Amino acid sequence: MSAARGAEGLWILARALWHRSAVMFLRYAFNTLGLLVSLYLVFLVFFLGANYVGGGFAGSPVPGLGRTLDQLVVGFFLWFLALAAYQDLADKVMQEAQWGTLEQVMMTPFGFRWVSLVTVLVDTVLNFAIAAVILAAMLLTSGRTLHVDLATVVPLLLLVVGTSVGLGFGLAGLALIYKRVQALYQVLQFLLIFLIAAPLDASPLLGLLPLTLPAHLTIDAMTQGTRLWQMPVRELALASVVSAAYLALGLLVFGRMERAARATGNLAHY
Amino acid sequence: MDEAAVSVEGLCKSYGRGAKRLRAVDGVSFAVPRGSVVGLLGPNGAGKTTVIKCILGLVTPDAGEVRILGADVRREPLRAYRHVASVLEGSRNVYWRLTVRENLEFFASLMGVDPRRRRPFLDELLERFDLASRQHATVNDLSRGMKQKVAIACAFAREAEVLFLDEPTLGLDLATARQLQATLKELAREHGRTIVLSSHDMDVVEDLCARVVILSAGRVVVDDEVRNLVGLFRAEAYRIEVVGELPQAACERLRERFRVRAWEGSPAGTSFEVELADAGELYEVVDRIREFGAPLRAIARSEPDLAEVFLRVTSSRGQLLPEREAAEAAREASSP
Repeated sequence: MSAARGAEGLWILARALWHRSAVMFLRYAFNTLGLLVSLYLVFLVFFLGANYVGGGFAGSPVPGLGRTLDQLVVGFFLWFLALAAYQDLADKVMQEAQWGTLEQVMMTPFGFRWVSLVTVLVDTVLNFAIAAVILAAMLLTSGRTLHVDLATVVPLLLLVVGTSVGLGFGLAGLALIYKRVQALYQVLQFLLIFLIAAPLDASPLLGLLPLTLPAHLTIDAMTQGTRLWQMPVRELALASVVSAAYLALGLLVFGRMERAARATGNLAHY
Repeated sequence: MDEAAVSVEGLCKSYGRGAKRLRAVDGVSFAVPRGSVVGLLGPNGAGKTTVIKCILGLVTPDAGEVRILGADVRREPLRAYRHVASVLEGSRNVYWRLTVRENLEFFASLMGVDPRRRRPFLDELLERFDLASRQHATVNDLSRGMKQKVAIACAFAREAEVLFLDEPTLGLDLATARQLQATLKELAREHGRTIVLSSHDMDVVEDLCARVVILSAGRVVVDDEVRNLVGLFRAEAYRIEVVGELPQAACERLRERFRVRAWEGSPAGTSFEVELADAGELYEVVDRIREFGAPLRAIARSEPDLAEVFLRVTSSRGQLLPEREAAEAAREASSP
């Protein structure tokens, strides 16, 4: 047996998970394309609707409306990233149980949690690619431009995705026990809109909600051009702590549910 | 190292609560030596799958201990997973949207085996399982038999020392099943793997396994070598065929004196099996048939096979044990 352990083993595992996700992504090309088109159409409905009702964003004589459109574009971009991060994970657990591969991927010397975390990272990269395409399409349609300072945007986006991944782990844990959790997706889609758009000025306590603070910081960075080092340290620290806390909570729930599924013997049921 | 590849001690598992509580596994213990191929048998609902899943750490037992090459599956599952691979649901254990080779590479990587370095071994597996010509086809496009082969090849690709194969030939046509059986036998022998095989196909089990553990109602009822088991149930039994239909009276006349079973009669011919205390009684059987004027067509000695042993063990568990003990006692008494 010539198996590698430690960092080398993890690298082999990560490569395999990347290859699996990328290949699936391409082989389900119709689904991927459908996702891109439907997301763009949703944006178009918002954009044209607002243009029609409000008399237009960009060319509006009302001061600040252009900025509102920028916020809508970034908010929509964040909404997709957050949505994809939690749904991918829960969907994967349900699909793998259905395919009969869930127990197989659980039997790895690296542990299922590592497999899940690496899968999340891999899927996040793919989701970033989709999100970037949608973002470009939205900007072209609206005729707006955004500030994309990678050193600022990437860490903030990781905080957004980290929180959402925590949510995804929680949902994936529920999927291990209850098998079907898609009904929650509908509620969560709307909840995410609220979380991203929650008025932080109304109460600083809203910063403790998942996504709210990192989403606000990202919108600020992309619409106002605020750099990471120009942001209040207190807010950055709080966003990091809150994001890590939700991720940890999600992992905790997932671990509990996984143990419960093993105890009841319905890990592979679907 | 004489450590067992798999050791199971006092395994218990119940499902449900209260009045609906079902005891699926009840104090199962057995050990599988390294490099051996052992059959885990039992009728539907005997607890085989639960035992296998408890061994693999996929179901948490209520009590008992499982070790795989010394690693306690419950306390140190990741250490145990270094040594184990399985096929649990036949063709459903692989990714149907990936190609055959991609699947092999993926499952090898799950163990930390670098598929680029192990290319010759993966090529060998593809050849052995007759998959080389379809290695770049997505599994979705393969027949059921080939999908099953892919799942088994993926388990081998993990290069684990211990393999669990749950119903590896289920649903396959006879030719594919026999081909797979031959491949498994070669690989087990050449690579010195420990294999725990669960199957209802007794030909596969008898051909591959030196030993079987038979479960019934969640308990181990037999744990013995196949040749011993077949020997235990070996009796002076003969299959007799006569021309034409033997009347019912002939059957009753024979039953008065001997154990007669598997009676099949038609105007063209009658056949039955008769169990005798010794071969000398065969003359008496022939005399009784002659009384009814039926010409003999054939007499052949019946040899029990594993399927018959299995049926007798599991169909009358309560009566089997004294019978088995008696047979064992007889064997001991007859040995020098």
